[in-house]
Amino acid sequence: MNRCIALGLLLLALLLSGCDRKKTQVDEALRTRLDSYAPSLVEVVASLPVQHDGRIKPFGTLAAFALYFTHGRRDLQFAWANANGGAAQAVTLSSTEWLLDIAMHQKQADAYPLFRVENRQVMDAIGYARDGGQRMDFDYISYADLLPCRDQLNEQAEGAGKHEGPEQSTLDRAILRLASQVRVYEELQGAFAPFALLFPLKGDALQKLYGKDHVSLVELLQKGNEFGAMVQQFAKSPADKAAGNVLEVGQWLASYGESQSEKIGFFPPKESLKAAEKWLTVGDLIRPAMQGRLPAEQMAMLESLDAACVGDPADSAPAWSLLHDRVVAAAALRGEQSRVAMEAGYYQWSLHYKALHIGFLPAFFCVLLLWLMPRSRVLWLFAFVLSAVGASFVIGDIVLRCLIRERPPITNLYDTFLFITSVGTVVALVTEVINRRRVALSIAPIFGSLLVMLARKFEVEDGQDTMKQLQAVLDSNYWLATHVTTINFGYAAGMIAALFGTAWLLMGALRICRNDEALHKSVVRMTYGATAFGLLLSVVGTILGGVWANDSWGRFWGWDTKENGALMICIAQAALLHARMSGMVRDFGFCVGAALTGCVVAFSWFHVNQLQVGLHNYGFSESTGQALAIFYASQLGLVLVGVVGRLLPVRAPTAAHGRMTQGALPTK
Amino acid sequence: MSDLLKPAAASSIWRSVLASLGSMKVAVVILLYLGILVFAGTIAQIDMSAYDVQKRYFESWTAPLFFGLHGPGGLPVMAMLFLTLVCGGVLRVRWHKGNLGILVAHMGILLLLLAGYVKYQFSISGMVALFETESSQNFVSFHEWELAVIQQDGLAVRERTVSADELDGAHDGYVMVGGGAHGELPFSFLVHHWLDNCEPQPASSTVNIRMPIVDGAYLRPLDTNLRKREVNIAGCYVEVRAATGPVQKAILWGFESRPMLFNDAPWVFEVAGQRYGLMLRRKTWQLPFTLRLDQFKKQDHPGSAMARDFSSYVTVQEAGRDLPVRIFMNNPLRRDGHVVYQTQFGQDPRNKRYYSVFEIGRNPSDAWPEWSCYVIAVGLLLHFGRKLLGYIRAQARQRAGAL
Repeated sequence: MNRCIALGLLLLALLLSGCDRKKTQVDEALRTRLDSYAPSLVEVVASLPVQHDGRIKPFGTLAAFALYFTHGRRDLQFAWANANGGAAQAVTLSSTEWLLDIAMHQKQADAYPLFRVENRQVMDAIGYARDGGQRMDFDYISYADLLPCRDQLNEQAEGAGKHEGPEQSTLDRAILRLASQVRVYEELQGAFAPFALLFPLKGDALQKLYGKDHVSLVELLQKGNEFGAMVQQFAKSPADKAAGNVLEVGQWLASYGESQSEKIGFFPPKESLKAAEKWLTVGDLIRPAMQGRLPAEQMAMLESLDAACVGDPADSAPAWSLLHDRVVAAAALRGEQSRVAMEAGYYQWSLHYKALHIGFLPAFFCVLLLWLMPRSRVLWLFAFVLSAVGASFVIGDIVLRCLIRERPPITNLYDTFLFITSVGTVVALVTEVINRRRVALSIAPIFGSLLVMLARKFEVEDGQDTMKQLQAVLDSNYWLATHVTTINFGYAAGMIAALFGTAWLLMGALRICRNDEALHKSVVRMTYGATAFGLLLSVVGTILGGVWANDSWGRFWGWDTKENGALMICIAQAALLHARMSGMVRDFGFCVGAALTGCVVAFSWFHVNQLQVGLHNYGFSESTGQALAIFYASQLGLVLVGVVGRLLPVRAPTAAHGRMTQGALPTK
Repeated sequence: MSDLLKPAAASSIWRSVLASLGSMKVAVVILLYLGILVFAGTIAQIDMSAYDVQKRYFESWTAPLFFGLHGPGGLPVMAMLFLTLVCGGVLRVRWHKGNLGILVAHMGILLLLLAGYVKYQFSISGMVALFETESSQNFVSFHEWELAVIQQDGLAVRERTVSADELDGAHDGYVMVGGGAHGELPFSFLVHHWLDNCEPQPASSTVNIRMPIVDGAYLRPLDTNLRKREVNIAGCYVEVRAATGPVQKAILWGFESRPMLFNDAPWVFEVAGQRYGLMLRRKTWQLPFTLRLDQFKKQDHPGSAMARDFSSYVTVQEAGRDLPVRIFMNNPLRRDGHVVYQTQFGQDPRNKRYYSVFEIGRNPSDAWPEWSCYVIAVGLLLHFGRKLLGYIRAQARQRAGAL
């Protein structure tokens, strides 16, 4: 039986790894860039510091989350369709390459099948002509194709935005999501759009000043002082023929500057960090340039950005490098560079991804083999070390995030995945050290792999910067370090207890080591230990949350959905332990209870956010709802298998069973 | 003397009651039911405000569960849990070293439940909204309303209030106020057509109006916002009846006393040559000090519209002394049994003046949950720590035996 399970799992893993998808085709006539970007250029651009959403971050981070949000994937895949009937050329763009295309090849970028639309009613609502779609469950739409429906999308989004919380339908949410996706794309586009413009100059005064009839933004601002004076002069006499289009250009610049004030800040201010925190956007430079007080350093950075975006393609790489060096030097002077460099490294190293591929997945395969060869000390050692390596990588990932943000480990839902992964795997490994029965060791890599995969999926589907600034009410390192950390310790312990309980049920149902009563007893003890650990931390974490709420919202307990969720974990675990102590349940009932408590933990951890009510209303997503449904169904299914399996009559042990009963590792 | 009253029998009854109440199985049943109640209360918040859920599920004797079924509400369940904890978790547990952790943890939970009860019974919670340079010595409830009768008595102003609970019958009928507790008034008044959410409208002959019309206006009923109950504006009709003189009718509408407008204008009427005022307002309490908002400051994260911090610089005026205090997120002002929190802010679009909204609470058990947290943590650590150590030792012994 053990071999069948191991081989079955192995086969499933291999099957899952071999999936491929058909790529959307884009007309090759829209292609303006023929060569790929040099890796060194991509690296330079990815590590360029910018300020966005209130924090300094690498440009690569901004690009990545913009792509996740708009496209729902880590890369952009499509194929150039050859009009002459030739073979389509498959293309895969990283997020930074996509961003470079927006900066340097905007028309081409507009044609990319970017916006992921999962609810096709959205297309009907905005009047977008569907062509049947190329995917089973969603479509990708390009910005160019969406543009004619832009007004209708705004109108629909305005209507959908009037509905709040549970009143919002799935279609409302899908429309709002698409409108936000388009806004994100337009923000990126808007940051680079003026570089591609050539301003026509009409009237003697302008043409005399610039010596030509078309100028770029940078050329305009290089003589900004004179241009500004001219705008002021002709504002008093707009009918003057010499004015030409001075006022129109001035008006455009002013409105562009205003629209960009809270967008991407490329240019660090000259002042110290204490004197000026805000980095300047392209739009922010317009007014000082027109008043003749734009510092030379910032003008030089603007020139570099202009050269990088619209200059000779051969010169763009040096221009990006020059801009990078200038910005990095200015940021370093203000003491803002070190954390950006660390963050660029963080995303480059991607420790949690390494944890999955170097640690948990190989450990999982070792565990499978270990169940086939239970007496192998080498396999046990490999599985243990690889799991420990996985856990260490995840811990390293968390530590880096703490250093970058100067915050405790958890500030948002994404962090909870990593934290719970690390705590859960460490608890499982420590349990294995105390009680060498392979069960805890088997659970560690499964738990680690699943949660890291879920974290990565959540990161992409949520599409929100996972290190973003905190709301004022959450801005308390003390409470984040105490309440949030403790309650997540409780979630981790609850989940591990649920896995131990489920493992015990499955071992019983599938007759794994059925004669080894000591092994079964030890799994029950592990479940008990994890439940007790979970109760301690859940109770303390929940009460600490109440104490925090008392300081923030003026009441200790308000029966808010998240508070109720945490309370339900405490109640479930306390009831389970008391039922065990009173003899109401024995091993079987206790493990069923622990397995079901996993559903309570999932409800509190994620599901309450799906209700879209209460003070902790964050992190809603359709896919989270689906994932939760799968988790509940699978947990209930496994419990059912455990219950039914226990009720089936037991056959006499075979020789194979006899061998497996010796499965516990020799201690020497 | 009946057998039941004999000391031995009484002791036996006492023991059996103690045993039943303190049974761990009873505790499990109560906990499981509490879990179901909390779950039902959580799901109910999809359609209902947290305040309503609190009242209907957790501060009630019965509560709607699922599929139209009703069960015991939070009050009896918490009371039973408390009793079970006292009997089973403290009195019946053997007081020895091994159970020290359990005893301590149970006492912590008792303290927590007690804190909840004290809060339920004795706490008040409300808010005050102040523009910069304005001050107030009052704060008002978020959800509760009251009728205030105001009487000018020489230079002093005397107030008598009638809470909305006493006027509950005015939703569907008539409630007469006067005589009894309010007997000192030379008139009584009839309250009727109470509406939880409404707005006054001028009466028009083209519209079929079901509500009474007073002075050419009526109250138009609006749907009660169940999810944000604090946005509802109550209204009612009143008829003042004195021994002599005609019946005086009026419409009272809560919006007129909204704290943001500071337009506390009552309806004024005269009885026996004395002027009185009657107003419908949110339930009002007095602070033991005066709170003045000097300045409100909002700081955004750089380059974004996301608030990083909002602070209110206030002056607490008490006994002729001025005390400057900064109230900001997670840092309330605690003074004289009251806690003042920064909760919201806004800006008057006309003059760009900032206003700050403070939530004010008075809860005698304010700090008890924090103490209970420490007690429970120590108790559970003692208990489970001892168990874990025992388990590790047993494993080590087992391994040593195998060697």
